[in-house]
Amino acid sequence: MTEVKKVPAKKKKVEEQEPSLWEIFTKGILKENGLFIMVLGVCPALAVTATFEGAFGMGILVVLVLTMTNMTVSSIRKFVPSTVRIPIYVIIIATEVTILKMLVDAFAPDLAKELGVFIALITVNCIILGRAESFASKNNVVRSALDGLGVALGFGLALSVIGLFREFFGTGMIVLGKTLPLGFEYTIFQNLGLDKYAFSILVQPPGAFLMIGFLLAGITAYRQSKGAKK
Amino acid sequence: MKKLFEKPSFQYTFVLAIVAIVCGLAIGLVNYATEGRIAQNIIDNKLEAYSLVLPGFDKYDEVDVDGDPASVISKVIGKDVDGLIIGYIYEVYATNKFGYMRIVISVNNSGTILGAEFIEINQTLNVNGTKTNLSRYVGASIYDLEPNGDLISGATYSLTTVQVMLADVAVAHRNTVIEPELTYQDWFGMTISNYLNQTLSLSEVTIG
Repeated sequence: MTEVKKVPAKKKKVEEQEPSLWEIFTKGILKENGLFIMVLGVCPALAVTATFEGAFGMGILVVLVLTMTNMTVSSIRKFVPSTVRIPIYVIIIATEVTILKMLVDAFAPDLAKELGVFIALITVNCIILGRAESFASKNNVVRSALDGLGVALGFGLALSVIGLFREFFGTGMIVLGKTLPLGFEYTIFQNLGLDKYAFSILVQPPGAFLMIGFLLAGITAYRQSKGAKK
Repeated sequence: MKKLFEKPSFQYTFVLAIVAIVCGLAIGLVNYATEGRIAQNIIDNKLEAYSLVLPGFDKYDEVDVDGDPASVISKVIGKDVDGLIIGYIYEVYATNKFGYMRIVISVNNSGTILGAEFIEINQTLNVNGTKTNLSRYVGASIYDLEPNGDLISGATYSLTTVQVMLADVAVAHRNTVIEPELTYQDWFGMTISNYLNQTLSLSEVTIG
């Protein structure tokens, strides 16, 4: 006969405790990063990270869409029949992306030109529908907003890191203010003459695969070594 | 009425309809607020592209596109400060399975491409390659496109679209181009006053 171990009631209570707001917010940034850990949303990461500004701009748009979507889905979750919840989430996401696209076209035309069709394609980014379905539809508005903000910031950060490395190693400099409406234009590292040593393939489409591959390998190796130490 | 709401199919349809109406209203409202600014941005973009593709461009005359290929949206005759024709600018729009693109191309009287620029490029694949492909046609004849093969690896499909657009511009250009009037000198050689001036200055040099 096998002996059944009894779990003390106090310990069980601790395990079932809901994560704090801070934990909800931070887990999506590093611990459960959408791109580097879960490898979701790879399509925009491959397409719009040729420049740092383009990647950063896409990151901002994803932050806005994901936070708004999570808040909207969470606020109507009690009225939505579960059978039609997915089409409703898709309508909400598509509406928010369409509105954002119009605003970007109007107020940041250079960013709209740089990102092109990939603004509209935020609609089909699996992170957004994924968070709406797995988190926002089961939690209140504040928790959902923080979850959306954290996950989107993690995704935006990942895009920006890829864009930064691709532009720096691919051109030898970083251009600011060309795409985003910053009000000034400035090029970092322009006078160092690094452009002679740049790997131009990194700003070409294959460069996105190479850079994401290197970064994923580095992060996986770090996590494995950390796990082995524990 | 209460019974009607108890039916799941009615409930689903009702909720979907409400969500769709609210979303439609939100989109309509934002569209109303931004359409003027977006239209102005497109015009600004177009004018910026005009001056980029046709150096020395100052003013233009719009020409009707009747009889031109459907992809040619607009065409203008570009003039310099003195009102002399310096080239023809065509705005072309085309779609392919990766999205759509809108370009402006300037061509001179003899059919040489003076400049080409994208106003919009909504392609899911190889945007930079497509931009480079278009720029490499600058200096070529619109009637005999060179180079005509795959220029940048990976942008083959959009290159075909660009070539179709350029071929449409060639048709539109044939319909538009105005042969320049021959000057007096072309018909009869040097004018008397010019001849006298030249002779005079030569004699001055000899005397000096």
